Amino acid sequence: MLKYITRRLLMTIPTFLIVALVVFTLMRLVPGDPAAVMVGDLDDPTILAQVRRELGLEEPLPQQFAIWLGSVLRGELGQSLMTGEDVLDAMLRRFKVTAQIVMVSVVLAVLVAIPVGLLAAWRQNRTADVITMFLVILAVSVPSFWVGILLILVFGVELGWLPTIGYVSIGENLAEGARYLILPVTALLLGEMASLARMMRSSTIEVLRLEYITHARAKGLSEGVVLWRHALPNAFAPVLTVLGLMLGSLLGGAVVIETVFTLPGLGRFLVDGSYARDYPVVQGTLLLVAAIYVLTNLIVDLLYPLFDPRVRL
Amino acid sequence: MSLRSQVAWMMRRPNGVVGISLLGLIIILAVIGWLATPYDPLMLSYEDRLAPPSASHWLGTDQFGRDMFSRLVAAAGTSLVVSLLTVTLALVGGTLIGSVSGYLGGWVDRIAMTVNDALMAFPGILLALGIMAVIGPRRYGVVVALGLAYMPNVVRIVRGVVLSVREKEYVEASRALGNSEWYTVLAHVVPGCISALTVIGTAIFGGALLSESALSFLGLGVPPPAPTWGGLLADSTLYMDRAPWLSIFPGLAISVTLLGVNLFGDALRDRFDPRMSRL
Repeated sequence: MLKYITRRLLMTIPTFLIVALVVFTLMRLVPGDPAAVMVGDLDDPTILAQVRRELGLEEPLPQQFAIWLGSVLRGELGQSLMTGEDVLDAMLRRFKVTAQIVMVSVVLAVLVAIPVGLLAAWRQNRTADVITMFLVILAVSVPSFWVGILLILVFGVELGWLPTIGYVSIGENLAEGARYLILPVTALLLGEMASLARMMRSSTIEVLRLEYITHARAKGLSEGVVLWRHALPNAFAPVLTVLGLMLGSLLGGAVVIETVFTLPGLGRFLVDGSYARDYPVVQGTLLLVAAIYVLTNLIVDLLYPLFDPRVRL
Repeated sequence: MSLRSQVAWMMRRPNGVVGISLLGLIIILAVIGWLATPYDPLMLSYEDRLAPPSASHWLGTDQFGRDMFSRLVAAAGTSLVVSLLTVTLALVGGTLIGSVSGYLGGWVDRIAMTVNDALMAFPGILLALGIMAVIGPRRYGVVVALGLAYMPNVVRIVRGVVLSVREKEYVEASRALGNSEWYTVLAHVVPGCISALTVIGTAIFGGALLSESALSFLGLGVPPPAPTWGGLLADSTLYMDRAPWLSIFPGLAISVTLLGVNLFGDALRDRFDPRMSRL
């Protein structure tokens, strides 16, 4: 067990390094002087010279990368060219918004997809299953940002029931915050929930074919007990891995959804940064999102043995 | 199995039939749009601004009086071509790297796989977004950005197949006949990956179409004035209260295409992975 944990932890080091290298390379591919890229259209030669020294631009590239990596690890991500804010501070503030949407989406997706997938597998190829699978493939095919636009059209423009722009922190005002979350979360969640349900279904079908399930039924256990107590634990383990990957697409989806609903989140920050060619912001958000993603998948892998009774390391 | 019997097999699956039909419809529309559209998709017409759907403008007009149907059909070509080029880039690059890495094995393979796994740890659309932020909105920039973002998936799958194929007798026979390593890989190892490549290629096509639309929606994809479905949707959001039809049709076009791709992909997976077809 300890060996597995150590191995898995060590594996994240090259991952982080390569992620950092990709972002570093991207930033150096920006045409022009890297120092000028980081301070913007500033005509002050002394600042420019200072940044150039800090970035170690006279050194060979591997050294430049080491210097850059060092400052990233110290959390020195520079100032936003748009607002002059410290990038790290701004990101952490905006991350709260994104985290709220993504967390609520993950929880809701799991709560709905697990029972739906389980039931569809149980009624395999019957009417309920066929209808569910049709809805799933429909939900997977509809882009989240279009769902968002349709929701705004119906609930915002036509009916005027729900706010379509902006955001209120759940921490400050639970009811109002929830009202602002309904539409973005629905748009973000639909496709992910559907693919999770599909995954749960096929994983359950494989488990239901195993002999211990036949044995449980032969013992006279009710179908509910067979499904919930016997099939679910084994069927859930592969779904857990998908859950980690799902976070990636939710974070990616959040970029677009935050734009649709004008939410001040991390994704919107990245998009705004891209428009404005605000490279410190682009660099910081890319690094942060990738780090979150790598860390979550690390946690998922570490939790895996707890959920899969067959994996005992 | 011959191509004809492959097609015949697909046509016996309801998923395959519907998928192929939807895709066929979109491709025909795109080809027609490439040859001719009722109006010039870029032609401005001040007096027809934001006109609702009518006999002269089937799907209405946008804020510059441009015909929505013409723009939608022209955009189909853009989206399909960009997605197709993305798939090609991802498949060719991924097959090259994956087969060489799997065939050679050893430290080459270990390094390639470490890098590959790390790249897979990067959400695809974010990598693409980062690349687009650096190079700015460009039609072929999107292809490169998305192609690179999807390549690691192909590498991993091709490598897996190559690892299992390279020990087979017919590969050894090719080497024994004195064929070069390159010839052996290309003529005997890579063909073993075709079925896996078809399945993942379809999945990537859908992913690329969705990501391209998302990037264009964000204004970081194919640059205007070339119409794209994502771009049409983005423009429409400013006029939702006055011209809701502008928001409906581009999204519908993306959804129908993706539905076709997904249904087709499901049928393909059933075809090549018999274990799944019983599910």
